[in-house]
Amino acid sequence: MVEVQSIAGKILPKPSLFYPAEIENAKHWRDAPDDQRIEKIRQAFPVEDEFDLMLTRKMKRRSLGSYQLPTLSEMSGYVRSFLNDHVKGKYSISNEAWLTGGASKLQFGFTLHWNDPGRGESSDDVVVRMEPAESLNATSRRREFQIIRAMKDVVPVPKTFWMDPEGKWFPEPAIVYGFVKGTTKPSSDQQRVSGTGTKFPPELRAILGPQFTEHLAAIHTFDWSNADLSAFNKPEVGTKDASIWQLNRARRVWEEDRSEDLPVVEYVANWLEDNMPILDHASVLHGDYRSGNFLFDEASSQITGWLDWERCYIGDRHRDLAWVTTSLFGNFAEDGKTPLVCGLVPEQQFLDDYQRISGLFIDPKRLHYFRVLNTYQLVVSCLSSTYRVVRLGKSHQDILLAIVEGAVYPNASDLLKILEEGC
Amino acid sequence: MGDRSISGLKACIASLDKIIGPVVEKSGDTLAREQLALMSKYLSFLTERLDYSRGRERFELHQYIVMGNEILAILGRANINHQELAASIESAQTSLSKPEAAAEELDRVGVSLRATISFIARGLIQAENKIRKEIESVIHHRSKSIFELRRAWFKPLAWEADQNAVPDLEKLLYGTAR
Repeated sequence: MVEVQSIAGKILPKPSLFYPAEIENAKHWRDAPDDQRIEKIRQAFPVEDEFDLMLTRKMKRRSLGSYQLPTLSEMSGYVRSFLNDHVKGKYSISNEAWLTGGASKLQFGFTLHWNDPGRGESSDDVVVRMEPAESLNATSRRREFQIIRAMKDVVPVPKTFWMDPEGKWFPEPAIVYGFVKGTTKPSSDQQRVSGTGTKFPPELRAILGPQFTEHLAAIHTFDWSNADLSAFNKPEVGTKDASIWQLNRARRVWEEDRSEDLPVVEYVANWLEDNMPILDHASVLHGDYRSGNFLFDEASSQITGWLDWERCYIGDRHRDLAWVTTSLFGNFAEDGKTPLVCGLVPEQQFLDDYQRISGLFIDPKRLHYFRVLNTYQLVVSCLSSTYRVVRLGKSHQDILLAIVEGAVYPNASDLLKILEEGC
Repeated sequence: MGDRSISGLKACIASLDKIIGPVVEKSGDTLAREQLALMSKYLSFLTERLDYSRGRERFELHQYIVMGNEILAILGRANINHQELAASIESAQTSLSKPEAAAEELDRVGVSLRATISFIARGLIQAENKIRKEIESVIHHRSKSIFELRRAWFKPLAWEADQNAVPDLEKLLYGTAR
């Protein structure tokens, strides 16, 4: 630990907790953390209860070794074991296959032939969405299942079937939901990794763009008070709780996962703590609302499903709005200079339409705050969690995560620019 | 014997693209197909960057030494004698001045210096406002060149919407394209 000395009676305050990064070729304590350090970090950075469980689980299982992707037949066995306890009567499965998409979770598809209590004899294309041993985001399948179920009449989402939140039947926590037909990008597009920077032609933008805005407004104005969202902490309007939990989650991840110290991360965390807004309206937030996370039908240009709800929480709408406008997810119109949010809508038009449709006010100061927070979170997770997962061989997507490191520095540069611009 | 790592890497890429790729394509395994393309992309990236690794390490260490010295000066003006920072800077400077310094040595002194500055930065939230603002300003402005370099480093992975806006690595490292 660094010691600070003083003459003339002046001292520089020390942080209450700081575990420095180690050199690359050394043994890292973060590769096999002990209970005492796990607990100290937990106490230093309080987060939502369910995230606390997930992050603690991640740290306690970190030393268990590298990840081995189940074979197709092993996965089929887990599926059958699960269905034996969840489906009444006879059933059969077919078309088992791994699916691609996403940088963090495993997706296994199959067709289920069964007697659905509500519909009778049915055949459903189904997806098992499951954790690897460790991933880019330590998130909760229980939360994801609850929010997708709650959203079924709000925006297009997969049909929820069952969940295995503790990994009792599957090797890791999993949800089972319906397969949604559609594509994340036009067949002509060569997008960047993980669906970022998708290029939509103008005629497609004209139809997808309004849906994109309308759906976000619908999510943010959804009355969640009667929904079963027991895995979510509900922040009180008039408090800073939601933002504190989010900042602490990133700080905790930084402390748990990082491979190198970056002074900017520390100073920005302090800025975020000092400038935290008070919540004026508690909305459901998607958490990763962008192109790449919705499917659409190429023939009709209609959005068929919103996916990847793992970063969902209840909080300030400006968080999603700032996320949508992150430059990493966007690109430029044909003129080469008009920035399009998520490759779909010019930014000002998106913000104007959102206010008109949702009836919710956009506060530039809050939007600026969440631009800083989001970019800070991206830097933290893309630099620290990706490194730790790749170093320890913890996921089926290690090669993709190794490439994700390249996304850190455009974001880090943006972070400095956003701070300079102010609101 | 000359270093033939780049030729070896190029052979790996050719094998993946020309021999293994078509077989995986026919197999219909979408995850394997996706990962094969990513492997080829990452190996191509390494092929382009391997020669510059040492230059990058030295460039970054120099930037952190400059950052550390400016922070030390701010603390000195406030009558705060930060021996740990001074020692980290001195070690880093000594290693950087040795052309023969091994990568591991540069890594070790760089890690120590970054940790010391980061420790100071984290504690600033409770510090006197004037000192805090001055140090944060140094961190902010001195980090720019480090992030520019890393953007240039990762340019072959094509993360940025406007690739033309990404700085040129050789220009940053050597002042001109080689």
